[in-house]
This record gives sequence, C-alpha cells and structure tokens, in this order.
Amino acid sequence: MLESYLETLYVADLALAGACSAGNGVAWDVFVAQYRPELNRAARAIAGESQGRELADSLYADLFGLRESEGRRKSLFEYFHGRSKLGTWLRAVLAQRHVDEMRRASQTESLDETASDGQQESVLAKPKMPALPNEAPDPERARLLAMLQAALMAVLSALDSRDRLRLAHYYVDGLTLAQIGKLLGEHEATVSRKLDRTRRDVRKRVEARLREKKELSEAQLHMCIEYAREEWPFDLTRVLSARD
Amino acid sequence: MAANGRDTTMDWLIRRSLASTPGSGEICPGPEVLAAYYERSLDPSETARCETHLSQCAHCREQLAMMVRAEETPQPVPHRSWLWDWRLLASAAAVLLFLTVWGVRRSVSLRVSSTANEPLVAMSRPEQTPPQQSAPPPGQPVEVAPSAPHDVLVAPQVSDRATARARPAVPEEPSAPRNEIQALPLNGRDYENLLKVKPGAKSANQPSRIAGARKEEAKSVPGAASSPAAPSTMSAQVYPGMAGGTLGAASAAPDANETATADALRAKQMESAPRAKAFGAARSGALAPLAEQRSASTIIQTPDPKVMWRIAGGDFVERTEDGGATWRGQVADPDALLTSGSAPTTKVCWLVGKVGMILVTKDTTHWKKILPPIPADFVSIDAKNGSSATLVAVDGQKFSTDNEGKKWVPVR
Repeated sequence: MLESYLETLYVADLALAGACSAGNGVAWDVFVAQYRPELNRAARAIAGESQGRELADSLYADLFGLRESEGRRKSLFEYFHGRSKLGTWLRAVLAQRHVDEMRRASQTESLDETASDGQQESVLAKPKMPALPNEAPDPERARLLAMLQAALMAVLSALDSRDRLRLAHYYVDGLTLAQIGKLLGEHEATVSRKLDRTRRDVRKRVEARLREKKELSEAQLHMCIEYAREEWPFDLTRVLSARD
Repeated sequence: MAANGRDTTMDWLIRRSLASTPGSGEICPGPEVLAAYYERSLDPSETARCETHLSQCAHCREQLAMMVRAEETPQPVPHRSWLWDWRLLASAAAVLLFLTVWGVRRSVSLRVSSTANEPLVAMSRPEQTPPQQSAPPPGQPVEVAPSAPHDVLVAPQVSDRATARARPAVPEEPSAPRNEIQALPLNGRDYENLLKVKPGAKSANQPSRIAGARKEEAKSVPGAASSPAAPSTMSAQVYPGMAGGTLGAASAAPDANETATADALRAKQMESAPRAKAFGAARSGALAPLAEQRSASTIIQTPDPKVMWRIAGGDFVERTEDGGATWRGQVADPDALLTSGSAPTTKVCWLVGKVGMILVTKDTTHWKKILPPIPADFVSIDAKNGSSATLVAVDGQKFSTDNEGKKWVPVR
C-alpha cells in the first residue's frame, strides 16, 4: 500500500517545492520561470483581470514565505505533499482563496446592509422568498409542496454520490458536460446519458414515493407539480415550520 | 401538464433542492486533496469519500468548478505567434522546397550545357605550362599566357561585326573530351610567337597572321581544323600594358573604330546572351562577342607572374596562383558585367564593368562594391593599391580616388 502511494507522488514537483521552501535560489528561478506565468494566468481566469493580479501576488508572497511563525519563515510550499502536480495544487489554492474571499465578501455585505422601514431584506444572504400565503385558495397547497420537497430531498439523498455529484455540477455549479466529464473522468456523451438517466430516475422515484407513502392521487400529484411551478423559491425549513 | 413541462419543473426542483441542501458537516478537504481528486490520483476509497463530500458541499464544488474553468481558459496569444502557425509554416516550406528544386534543376541544366567547354577550375597540360611572365615594360604588349583551358573556353564563331578583331571561324567542339584537348598540336612557345605584337602595330594585322598560322597548322596536323579555337583570340586583343599589370584600353582615347566595334559587340551581347550563360559555353554566334570580349580583357596581371586574375564573363572572375595551371573562380557580384580590372598586389584586385560597377577585394575572396563617381560604363582601371585607383569611363572621363572610392576626383 505504501508503495502504491509512493508511486502516485509527483516527486519532481515535490523536490522543487521542497527546495523553494528551503530558500534555494536556483529552485526559485526554476519555479518563477515555469510556474509564475501559469499562476498569473490561472488567477486572472478565476478572479478576473484586476482581482486576479492581486490574488496571484498574494499567493506568490505566501509561497515565498513572507510570514514568520515561531521565529522562522514559513512557506506555503510546506503544505504541498506531491499528491498532485504542483500547477494543479496552485490552482486549487487560488480557487480556495477566491471562494473564501467571495463568501466573506457576501457575508460582509449582508451584515452591512440595513433594512429600511423594516421591509427590506438582504438580497445576497439568501434568495428572496415570497411570504407564504396565509390564506391560500387551496389549503392543501402548503402541505403538497412540503411533501414534494421532502420526497425530493429523500430521493436525492439516496442517490449514488457520483450521480448526485453529477447532478450538482450540472444544475448548481453550471458546468458544461465536457467540464463535468473532465472532473469525473468520463466522456462528454457519457455524462449526458447518465444525467438524463438520473433525472428520469429522480422523477420516477419522487412520484412513486408520493403515491405510495403519501398516498396522493394522480390529481393531487399533478397539483403538486403545478404548485411547485408557481412557487419560487421555497424554503423547506419555512414550509416545515409552517406545517408544524 | 405536458411531459416537457413536468420535466422542466423537475429540473428546476432538483436544482433548487441541491442548492439549498445543507452541507455534510464534514471538514472540507484542503487544496492538496482537491488537487489530487482533480487529477484522479486518489485511491478508490478516497475518491468515493471525496465525491460524497463534494455532492453535499457547494463550497468545495465551487472551487473545483473554478479550477476546471481556469484550466480551460486559453493562454494569451504571443505577439508573434502567427509566425508559428503550422499552416503558414507549411506553405512557406512548400514554397522554399519548390524554389530549391527549381534552382537546383536550373543550375544543373546550366552546368550540363557548360561542362564540356567551360570548366570552372581548369587544368592545363603539364607540357603547356605557360612560361614565366614578368610585368611588361610600358608600351610593350601584354603577352597572354596560353593554356589549354582557353582553347576550351573560347567560342570560336565571330559575328560579322567584329572586323578589327575578326578571326577565322573555327567550328566549335562543345562536346570535345579533354583527351582531344590534350592533343593540341601547338605548344606554348608557338603561341608566344604568334601572340607577340610589336608596339604600335594595329591589331587588325593579327587576324591575318593568325589565320595564316592556322592554315599551316591545319595542313600539318590532321583534324587540327576541328580543334577548339586557338588562344589567338586572346592574342589578337592584347593591349599595350599599363604599369602594374593592368589590362584595359590602350589609351584614354582609343581608336574610334575599335571603340564603336567594342560597343556594338557589347550591345549585342547584352541583348542576346543571358548573363547566366556568360561564362558558359558559346553555343551560338550571339555569344561569340562575349567570348571574344572575355578573352580580350580577361587576364589581369599582378606583380607576381604566377598570380593572375581573369574575368571569365559577366560576373564571374577567376584567379590562379600557379601561372594558369589551375584557376579558382567565384562570382564577384551577381549584378556585375565586368569588363576590366587592375591588380596592384597579389591580394588586391579592382574590377570595373558596366553600369557603374566597381569592385575591390583585398583578400582575394570578399568583394566590396564601390559607389561610382558617375553611372556610366567603365572600361578600365589602374590601381596603385587597395585604396588608390584611377578609372576610365567609356566616354573617356577619368576619375581617381585615394580612399577606396569614398571620394572620386575628376582627372584631366
């Protein structure tokens, strides 16, 4: 097992990172020549032209080890263990930093916003949700929507993680079939086929669940879908709280 | 509800459900694991755990999405990347290949046509080694050392316009093998006697003497009449030598008839003979004036009798260091139409030609083009060294320089 682990290591990149971490000048020259342009390009692709430059410079400074810990210079290279290519690892670090920055910025903005006359809500904190109608024409509306949402969550949770991940990449992350295929190691056509199969499977299971466990009729099932089309978005928590 | 509508609704529901799903509660993997997962270098169990987490963690999925988009972003195109476009390179390579093949075939065809009569490096028979020649005193004719290659190089047919320099037409033997050349009946001494010209003697006398000599030769040696032209063509054109071993016009004001004839010959040469064939075999009468011109003003003496230059026609010049036994040729300038030259030392040589052509070399190999004082045809040059020279234009004007042609001063 150890041997198989060692065989997966990128030894050359690990050696370069180790030498840079130790402050080897030649190693730094090699790193700058080979990876600095790629680092800048990836940062621009992730964060845009203006923020990308800043993102790349910040990472470069941490790689160089401008921070000190316990009296010694600490380089970000120490966290690279050779389990991937150095370039990929650098992209992962850039992406992580940018996502964290974006989330931090969104939370900061939501805290900074002040509601005026008690009606305004944060736009960025969570999607704007229309208030549940207190007097819905159909009293079953809320119950049907809640059952639909619960069935959907249960079916999605029961999916194979890979199928679920595929759905998430497509529906939530907005990736293309080719990009999903690259991440999952599948051909683009395979991704498309499996997505379609999973979607049909989810729909069947949701409907089956609603018919069997909730004992909904076809008409009620139809109403569930209709209400779901009209309601946008809806929060499971609020629906469940209202029901309870 | 239509099936499509239901599917659309289901897609929307799935999207919303996945987006609002709370996280798995597990600690998110660091960049090391994400990068390894990205490259699929994790083992199967690690991959499964990672995918389970990713399927529930929008934060980690967001990072992965950025990584895959960043990798696909095209790199900025370098400034001159179009130069390395394979299509452009392929087209350029095809054009270059075509030009190379065309050039090789053209040169091969030229060499085939000229090989029999116009070897670039010529060898003479040992028994015909030209005698030692010293710089003739002023006024004495310049004796041109005969050698077999000249017999081969010279095109015998002369146009009707060549009166003063007329020589009997001798059938050309373009395909004459070298062994026949070896069998020339006349040796160098005989040629010397034929070539000697008394001072002041008109060159018009030469052809008759030579013609007479040829007749005698034809009588004595069977097949001699069919031999290539004797080097008398050179002899007929000797001019009184100038100091320093120059070869050119006898005086500043040459005979008008000869000048007109020379001009006519040169004009016809320019009209009919491609420059590429200038040093090739003479195939037709149109090339005869060129050959005659070359033979007439070809040899450029140096202070060393063993070292000589020779204008082989057009832009081609040859040099010998063994008195004419072997010659080494080169193109002095591809645009040149050389007519005369002067070699004040064994290393330095000045060449002049048509359309203001002036060339000089100080190492026998590299030629430097000198700006002319006037854009005229030059007929002769008298050089003292590598920097000082006096040249004569076709209209008789003289110009001198002492700084390698940077400045020319008219000479009266």
